[in-house]
Amino acid sequence: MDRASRFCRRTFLGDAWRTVAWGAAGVVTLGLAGMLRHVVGRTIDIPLPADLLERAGRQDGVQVDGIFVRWSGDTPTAFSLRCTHLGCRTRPDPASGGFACPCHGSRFDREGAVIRGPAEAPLARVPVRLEGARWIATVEADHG
Amino acid sequence: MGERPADGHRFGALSLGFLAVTVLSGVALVPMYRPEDALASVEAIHGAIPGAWLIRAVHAFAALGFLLSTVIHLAQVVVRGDVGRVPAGIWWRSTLLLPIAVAGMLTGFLLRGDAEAIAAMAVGRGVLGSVPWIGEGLATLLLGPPGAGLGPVALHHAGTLTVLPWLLSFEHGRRAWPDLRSLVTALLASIAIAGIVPVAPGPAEGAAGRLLGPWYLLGLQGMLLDLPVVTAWIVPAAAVLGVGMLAHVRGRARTAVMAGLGGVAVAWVGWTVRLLVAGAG
Repeated sequence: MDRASRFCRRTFLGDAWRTVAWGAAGVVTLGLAGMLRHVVGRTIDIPLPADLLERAGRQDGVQVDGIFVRWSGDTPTAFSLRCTHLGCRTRPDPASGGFACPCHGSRFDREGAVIRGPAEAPLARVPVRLEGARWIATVEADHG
Repeated sequence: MGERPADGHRFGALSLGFLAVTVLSGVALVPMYRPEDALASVEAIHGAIPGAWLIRAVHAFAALGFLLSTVIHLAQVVVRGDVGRVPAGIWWRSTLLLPIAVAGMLTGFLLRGDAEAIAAMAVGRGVLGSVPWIGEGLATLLLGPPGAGLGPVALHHAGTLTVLPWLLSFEHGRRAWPDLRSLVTALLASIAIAGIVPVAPGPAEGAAGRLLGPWYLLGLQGMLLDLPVVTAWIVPAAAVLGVGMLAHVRGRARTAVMAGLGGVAVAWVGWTVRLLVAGAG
């Protein structure tokens, strides 16, 4: 083995070792960052406005902080406006009563079901509960 | 300011000039910008604070100049067949300047805090989250945990994405500061374009109309109309790997890599046109 090939092998091994070390450091960093997401909590409570019943009765529904609430009978039904494709906030479409995504054009019907992709899953239902006199919606932290 | 660069490296030197202008104008913007009230502070920069709009526009166009001069310098090196003269490790790390420059511009776009920026943040989180195994950690590391606001993005924009390109430029060009000619050229070019092309914040959340990402990523936004989400990181990653591989391949293999990079560029432009023509939302 001549000097040149020994040098190349040493250089290659040095580069490979550094690449592995940097890769391992990167994986550890990303793992810690991923754990952070679980530490900070994933759901939040949104109090719905006190005049929700009146407003929802006058209109077809109301938007509250990234969720859309309709009144059905005695209980509100809520959807997350977060598009299930990539998370853009969809907008209510008054003409159809459904929802449209302004980023990639997905469309959803009144019940949140997909009419047109690229989204494949329906809009997420948001659980709503009554606490005293206030309706509270519980949503994912990145709900929209 | 050091010795003047050789003519063959004029665009490489110019990229350092643009980087310096970007950083200095960014420092000047820091006291005026509040990540917790992003859109209002950007609107104040464009109205209430005299002359601040020019600093922001210079900042934006200097960042664009950094990317363009880096790409032109890279193309010159490839066309002249000088790739092999750069040590492979330095070539690979210098290749990272391309995604880092784009990330710097993209985080600047996110910091506007308008409806397009909020949507781009959501899309970015979704795209990063689609990377197998490390996606969630990657999204949290780069964008902060969900609901964290723009603080982590501002930190990366001003810190990580300033230090990294400077370090990589220093390793590549062996100079920490641009030569005077490059600095003045970059400054004058940025001011001239800033005076001609307006850089205003986009629509506020809730405004009508479709939302578009930054112009240089419209090709990716268009691809997502038709292709799976993973396309949005596989295509850029493949392009960066392709540029990096140029240091190792010769002959037909190099021609194949160049053809692949050309194909990505054509597809990028094609999907940009598709997005703009077909419309969304």
